[in-house]
Amino acid sequence: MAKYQFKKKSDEPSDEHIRSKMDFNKILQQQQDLNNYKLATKPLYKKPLFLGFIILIGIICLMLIFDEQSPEDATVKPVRDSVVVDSLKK
Amino acid sequence: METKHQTISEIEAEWGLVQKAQKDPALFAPLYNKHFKPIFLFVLRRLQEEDLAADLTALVFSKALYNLHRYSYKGVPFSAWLYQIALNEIQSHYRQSKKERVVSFSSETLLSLSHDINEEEELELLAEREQQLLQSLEELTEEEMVYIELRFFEGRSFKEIADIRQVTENNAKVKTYRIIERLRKIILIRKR
Repeated sequence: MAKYQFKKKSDEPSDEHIRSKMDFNKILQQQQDLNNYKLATKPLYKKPLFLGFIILIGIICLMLIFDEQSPEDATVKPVRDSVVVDSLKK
Repeated sequence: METKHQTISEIEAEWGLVQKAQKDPALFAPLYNKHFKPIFLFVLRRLQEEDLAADLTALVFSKALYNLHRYSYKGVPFSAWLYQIALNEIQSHYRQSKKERVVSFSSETLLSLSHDINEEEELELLAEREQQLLQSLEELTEEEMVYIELRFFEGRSFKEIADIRQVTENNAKVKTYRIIERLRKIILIRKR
């Protein structure tokens, strides 16, 4: 299959005709549409709200883990074996 | 040809306009008004359909505006960036539509290419030679065809080609002459 279609140059359209094709408002609208499209298709992990939510969940998890470890167990002093043996002898 | 060489001060003045447009998209209008015609004609030559060319040109400018915050001054005209976007959009259009890519030429531009290949002075290109040359061009890759179009069919300087293709001027010259050398070989093989 041919890759290219060779065509003899045709006459360029007039300046007036080209000007009729100009529409700056359309450009602004298309740019806005592109913005909206990019926002709509932005991956979830890149959204700040989602990231904030993940960080919050992380903090809560860490708090729960430390909370479970910290209570009375940590305050109980370890009893040395020799003390136990002494008390048994008595 | 619709382009002209811009002086450093002109390029810098244009950079000033770009900086303003980066802050407020509405201020992109002067750049749009200035570059619409050359970009539209550039696209039209490669599509040969006016309405489609107008739509694609609009897309080029909206993408330029959308990505304007990423644009930084590198000492090359702003138009070079627009031509890059236009070339990408044209390639993407042909990839999606799976149509044959249109290459516009005139007898004079083909004659100048023939001179560079054959290094013979001819006053006009005979129909048979013209056909032979077009068949040889068929074997070029998309990238090679872009160089031939810019240099011979649009008569751009190596500096402009370098700016559009984001290479050095020397590199643009070397690439173009390598393509001509390749065309010379293709023609020789076809003659045998």
